Amino acid sequence: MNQEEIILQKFDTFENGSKFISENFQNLQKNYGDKFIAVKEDKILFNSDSFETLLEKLKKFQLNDIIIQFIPVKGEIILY
Amino acid sequence: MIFNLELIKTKDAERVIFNIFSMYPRCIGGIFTILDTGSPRTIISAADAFRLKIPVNGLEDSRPACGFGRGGIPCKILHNFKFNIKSPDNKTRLVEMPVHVVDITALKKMNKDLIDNAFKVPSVIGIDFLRSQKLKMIVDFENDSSSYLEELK
Repeated sequence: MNQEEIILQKFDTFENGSKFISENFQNLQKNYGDKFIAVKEDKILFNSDSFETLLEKLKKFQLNDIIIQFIPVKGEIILY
Repeated sequence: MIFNLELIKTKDAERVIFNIFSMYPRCIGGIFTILDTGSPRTIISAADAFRLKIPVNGLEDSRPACGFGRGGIPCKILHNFKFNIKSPDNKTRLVEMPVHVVDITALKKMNKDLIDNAFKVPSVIGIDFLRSQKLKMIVDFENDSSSYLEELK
């Protein structure tokens, strides 16, 4: 596999994780509301109340390949 | 060329998601962003900056990111951030544009509440991206597969 193919494969893996979050957001809110989750493909690797604790749990993982998201129960995101 | 959007459709949290893939040297990896047409600028979150180890030391300060109920989150500007975006038929386009990155070093000197809140805020892709890449946005909450970005003709 050349470099471009490797990047594309990593991008695909990332997109699968993203799709998993988007499609299951309601369930994630129920089960992990107000928590941080670490997702790879269609698996939740870990969850935690704090970003710091989640990082501790992810010590052995390559963070570039993982989606880390806070799951808000409700509320807006407004940044400017 | 089109680029698919993902939709989060829950009563309290409808959102438009756009995935980008950082190609910045030594910071290779995906970034899950909220497409926010209310934000004039693209902001890489504290969590993503930390996760991808985006170097901010020595960069120029930029206006802190602000939101409701939160203090300002310190940011730096990265003038030549590079990332890929991908079409449904697996063609990529390399984008190079300035982005604002949460300054983790400055953030860590702030109070605990602000730090905790800052790590909860996701990365945001703003109007600057749509404008610089000459893209229009089509969003249809009734039909997921009909939401995408498309190049302006």
